[in-house]
Amino acid sequence: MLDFQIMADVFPKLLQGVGTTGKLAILILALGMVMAVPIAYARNAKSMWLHGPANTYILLIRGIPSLLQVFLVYYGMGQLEFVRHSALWPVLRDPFWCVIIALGLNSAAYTAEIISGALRLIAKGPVEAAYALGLSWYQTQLKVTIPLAIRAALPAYENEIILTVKATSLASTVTLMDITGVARLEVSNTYAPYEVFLSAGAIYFCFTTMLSWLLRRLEQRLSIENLKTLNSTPLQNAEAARA
Amino acid sequence: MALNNMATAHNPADGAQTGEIRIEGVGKHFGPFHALRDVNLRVVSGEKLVICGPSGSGKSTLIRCMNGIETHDSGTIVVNGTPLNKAAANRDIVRREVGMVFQSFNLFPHMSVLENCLLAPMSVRGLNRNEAKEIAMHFLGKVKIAEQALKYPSQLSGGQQQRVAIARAMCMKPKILLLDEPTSALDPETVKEVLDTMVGLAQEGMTMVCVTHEMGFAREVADRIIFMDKGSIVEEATPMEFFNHAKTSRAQDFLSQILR
Repeated sequence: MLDFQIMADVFPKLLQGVGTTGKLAILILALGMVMAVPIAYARNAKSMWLHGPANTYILLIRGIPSLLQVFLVYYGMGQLEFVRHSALWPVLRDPFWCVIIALGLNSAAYTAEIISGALRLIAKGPVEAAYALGLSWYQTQLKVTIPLAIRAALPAYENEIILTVKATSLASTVTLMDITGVARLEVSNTYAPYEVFLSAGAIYFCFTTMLSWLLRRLEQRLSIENLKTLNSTPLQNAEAARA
Repeated sequence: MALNNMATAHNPADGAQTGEIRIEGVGKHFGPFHALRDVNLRVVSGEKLVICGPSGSGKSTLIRCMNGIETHDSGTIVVNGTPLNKAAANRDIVRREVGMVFQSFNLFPHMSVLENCLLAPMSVRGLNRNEAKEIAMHFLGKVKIAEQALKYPSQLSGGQQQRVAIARAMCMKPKILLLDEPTSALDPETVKEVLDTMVGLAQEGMTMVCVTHEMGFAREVADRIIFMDKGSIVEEATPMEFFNHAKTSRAQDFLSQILR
């Protein structure tokens, strides 16, 4: 059945890949978020010159498999003359940065959809009140619109975070030694794919579960509806005691 | 007429220092719908103006044009000497001097009561937190809600939220206060606490333009009542004249429906 000895041997080796997986996930999410905000605003804009390109970009990214996007960046970049001769070539030939660029662009598209939806979803009233008080457009976005949009977007974005952590396994297809990369190497060493990939899966599962739990806690702290239960008044306490 | 008496009591040329609004020939469309038709109105400093009328008469649209939340399509609006036109800078100047209270309160749900009142003085007037806090606690005290300063809007009743909204608007020390049906979304029991707050403000000399159905408030506080229907001002009178001797049949119909 299961060779537990192999699993025990392979675990420490797999854990060495966690660093790469973690770094990839964080950098991909960061790049994705930074790009997503302007794309989201462009998506919601009235002008065709803004929402046209934004929508096209999102459609393209969502329509092509992520694996192909990684290949296009990693193998494709090297095929272009001007890229090979540019100053950025040392960065662009490095599979680590290729994965971050490819999956970052990918995450940006999905995150932009989430943010764009959240911006459309939040109540217009408080935003109007901010303008009526004399706040500028930038101040209103910073202090009112975006905080409210983040709270609205958090559940969907949690999903995107988990998916990104899992998507980093694609890095193994371009020579990187993340958890999956190490796993594939170990499979070729041990000829025991079942045990090795199960172990790798278990590691991913632990991390994503922990991440989920942390994000759920953050969501509860920020949630406006839950503020009622976080700071109950003495009257509410008394009524709760009587009930 | 009451309007002329008012106009000579406060020198119109002094519009820049006081709370004055001049609306001339203003029109507005929402697509095919003609919301405002050739509205002419003059609000003088210290005046309490009540605007009433049936739904769709344009009263909310009109008041929202007074601080640039809605832009008018034609005509001119001049607030304290600053015209409301395409220039964003003018709009910002007007909004600094004009406060607004909304029917649905529109408090910032992610901020406490105190932070709601701190935001504008700190961001727009550049005050530091302590200065802004003094002002905020002063006005929160005036609307009798100071003890709830650290609560969040979702923990307050509608009447309490609206009083916070009034305090928030007052923290910017506006020269004119616009109120768009401030009590229409409230339970009857809480309407009184908000109306009392508004009466208090009126008695201190604030220039107020209030869209409301609360005729008791209008009778007590208003200097002038404007009745609108289908986008134009149909009748303009003092409360006494309006309630007892309304001139137009549309106004009379409206009154007979509102006052049982």
